[in-house]
Amino acid sequence: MRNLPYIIKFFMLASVSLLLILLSLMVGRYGISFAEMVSFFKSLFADSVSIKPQVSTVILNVRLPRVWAAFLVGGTLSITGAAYQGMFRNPMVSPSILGVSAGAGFGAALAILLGLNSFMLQVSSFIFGTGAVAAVYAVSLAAGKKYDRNLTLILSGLVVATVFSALISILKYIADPDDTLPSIVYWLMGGLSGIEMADLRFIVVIAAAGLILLTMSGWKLDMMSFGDDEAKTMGINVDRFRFWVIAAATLLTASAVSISGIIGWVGLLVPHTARMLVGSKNSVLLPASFFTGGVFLLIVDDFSRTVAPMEIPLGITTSLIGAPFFIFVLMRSSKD
Amino acid sequence: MNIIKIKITAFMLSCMFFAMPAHSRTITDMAGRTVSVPDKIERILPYDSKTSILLYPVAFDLMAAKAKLPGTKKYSFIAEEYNAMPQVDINSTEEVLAAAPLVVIAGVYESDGRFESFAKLERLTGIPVVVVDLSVDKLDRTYRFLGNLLGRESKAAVLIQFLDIIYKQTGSLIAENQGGEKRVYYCLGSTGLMTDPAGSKHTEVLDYLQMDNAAKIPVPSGGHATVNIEQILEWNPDYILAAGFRAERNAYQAITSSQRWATVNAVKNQRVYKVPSRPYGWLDHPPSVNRISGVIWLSGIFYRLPADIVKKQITDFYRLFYHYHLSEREYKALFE
Amino acid sequence: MIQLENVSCGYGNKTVLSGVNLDIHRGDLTCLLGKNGTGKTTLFKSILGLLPLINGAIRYRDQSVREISHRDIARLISYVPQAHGTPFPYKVSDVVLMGQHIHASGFLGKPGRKNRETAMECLDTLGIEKLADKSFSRISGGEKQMVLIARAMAQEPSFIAMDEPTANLDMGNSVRVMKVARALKEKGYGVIMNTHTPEQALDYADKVVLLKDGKVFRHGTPDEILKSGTLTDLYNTPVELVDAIISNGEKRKLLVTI
Repeated sequence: MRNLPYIIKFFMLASVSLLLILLSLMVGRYGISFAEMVSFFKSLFADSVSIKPQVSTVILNVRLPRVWAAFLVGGTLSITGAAYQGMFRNPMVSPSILGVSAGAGFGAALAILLGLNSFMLQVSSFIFGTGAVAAVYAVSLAAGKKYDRNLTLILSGLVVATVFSALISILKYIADPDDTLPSIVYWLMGGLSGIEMADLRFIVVIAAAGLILLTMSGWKLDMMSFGDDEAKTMGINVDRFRFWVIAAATLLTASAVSISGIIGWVGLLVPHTARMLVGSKNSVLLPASFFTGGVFLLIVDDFSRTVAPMEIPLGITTSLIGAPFFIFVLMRSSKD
Repeated sequence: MNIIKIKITAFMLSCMFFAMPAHSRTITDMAGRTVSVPDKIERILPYDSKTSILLYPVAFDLMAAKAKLPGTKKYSFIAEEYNAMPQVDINSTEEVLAAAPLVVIAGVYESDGRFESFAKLERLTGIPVVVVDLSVDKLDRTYRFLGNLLGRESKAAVLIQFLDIIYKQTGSLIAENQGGEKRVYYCLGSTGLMTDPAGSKHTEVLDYLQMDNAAKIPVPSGGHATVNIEQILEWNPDYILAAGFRAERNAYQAITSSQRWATVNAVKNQRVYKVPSRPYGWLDHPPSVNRISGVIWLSGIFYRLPADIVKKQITDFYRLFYHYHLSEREYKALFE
Repeated sequence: MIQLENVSCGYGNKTVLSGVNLDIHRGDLTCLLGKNGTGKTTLFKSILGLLPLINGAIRYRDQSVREISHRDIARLISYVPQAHGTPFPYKVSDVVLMGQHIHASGFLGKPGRKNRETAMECLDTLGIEKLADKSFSRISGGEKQMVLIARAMAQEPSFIAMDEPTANLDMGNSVRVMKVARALKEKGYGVIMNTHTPEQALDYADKVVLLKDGKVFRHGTPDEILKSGTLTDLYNTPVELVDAIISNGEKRKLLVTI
């Protein structure tokens, strides 16, 4: 597997993605027989074939947006996770390391408490998510050049995330337990249950742009993982490059989190899986992470929405799958 | 050593006895607990918000405060004196002691049977806790009990008379209308995907009206469950009742305008209803005497109780239980 | 030629070295010697543009290094760090290719075929072309040092700065690395290196710079500078240099600690 040419690997990844997207359209709580499924696909090409309106509603308006959302959110979180791991030279870093999730969570909780509609909720969580990272960046600049820049960033990320977690707790505390509290709690656990096509307009553009831009700078990320000093002596404007990677990654994560809520582990785990498949070179690893992450979250979400009549929050499923996998990765890497 | 212990115990016991009024009687509360209460109860404190609403119509002048609810704003369509009442957080022993009630009254469901927190409150404050039943079909008995306990028999009699009319009317409506379309989906929040499933104490009104809660899934500990839209299509309910959280948008708009819901029976037959929520929700939020207005309203929807009777009874209910005179315009505004 | 004029350098406001005047020439191997903590690495970082100067100027062809960008410094001087690991396993050929970053000819600043060829040539020159497809994290310390030298060559600079290139290597690998350093200087690169081994300076250096107490203590050719007295002063431990004739009849100086 490891020695196949990249082209073939990507062809395989893309085919697996497409196949899973198609399969995911076929599973769900609403029973659709295989025959109905076939006639639905026929009806897309021939007007003469008639189908039950429920079938087309379920497939086009319910499953399709959700499948896309799961794929895009999974891909987006994974590609930023991989980029951050390269940049911070640390395989244990996740996309939320700079506080974007905590900030977005606060923005969403605030919007729920203020009774804003779902679009404004997304806007609010996006703004607070990016704002949290901006604060982290500012704090790390203020800390000066005396210390390692990556370290000050991660530490300020920790601080800002803690502050936002505390703010979320305050909002949860003042939220009415019979009223807004369940919505806040559910949002924080992550899920795609209410997703519609219109919610995806923004993330499609951001994810596509992020995929291309980060992949193109994958080459420089490789050099960054040798350390700031070496990267500088090889001619990289390290501070500027780091700023742009953080900016791109933040936009990507914030746009994903704003529609899905907080989903942990994906951005940490998937890059490791992708690294096992295609190796460490970021220009290959980043797109591979995107597809692998998309497929991963798609499967997890299929599980979340079909296994029980109640939705299982995605944050729960990814963590349950994530924790054992993480131990597996640790054991594997300690053998190397 | 032992002598000191005995002295301390004696001191603590005497403190408790001093806190207790001299003339006390022993009663059995509605949960079968034996409680010692003063002969004349001049000052009471509701345990929580559902008890506050229960007590208000029968014993406003005795209430030291109403229960503190986080995030609570001013309530409309209830007498100003209720809004003006101070609030006490039952979890703060000091606040409870400062309010200095002679008795704390706690409304529960028969099924609850968990009284440790009441016993703890009694231990901490020395104030007896009297438990009363909140089941929607037994509120007449509850008011009779409260009337006797608090010496408010005549006030209680008016309320009991009204409740008896409603109970009798509901009984005969159910008897006359066996069969028919019975599946009801009750949703909360802005997306319409959060529900209180069958068996939840939050949907007791539906059970009482012998309607069929479409969401037959395990009841989560918080009471609320999130389901996905496919599951709802599969249940295909005949009625949808949308309760908005106070701070959030009601899902009514989303349900009636989205294509995803269009094939649901209730949407096709225009049987989607917004649950009125002022001053308290008509079906829940909190589950107390406020649900009687829901019983009346739903009798009109499920069992064709004539609209003028519904209106008359709702107006009477607001006058008797909320001490509020609903104008024609305000009555209409309730449903918007 | 790199000229250091009255350079003071250090971290923040803390001056480590001051009043440094030095000329570093192409085709020379310049060795920096000094006790631990005398500022060898600090001076290195200043020359590489990684630390701002507190005072003075570093010039290359009469242009101040301060005024030119990282990219241009990278064209002028490349850096060979001590052999180290990376958190991720990159292929050796990719690591060497990184040196070609400033010369990247591919689409949107990515390396192209010409860059790959240059990188392979650098591996060839050092005779380590067989490592090309191996993972950088799985080769030996000596091999890593060679790969890092190849990467520095791939930058096509005029000068190569080596930070204690033999620090973690066994004797055989040390000798191989030093011979490569000599070969590089003979090709016309200006090689500047830090070392804790005065013998290497004796055997290979063209210029020696001794750092002591925050100043340049002595500098000049090894013959002028490396004497028993100065080395004893420098390291604060008695050292003697003895003349010896080795088996092929060559006359060498040997360093003996007492």
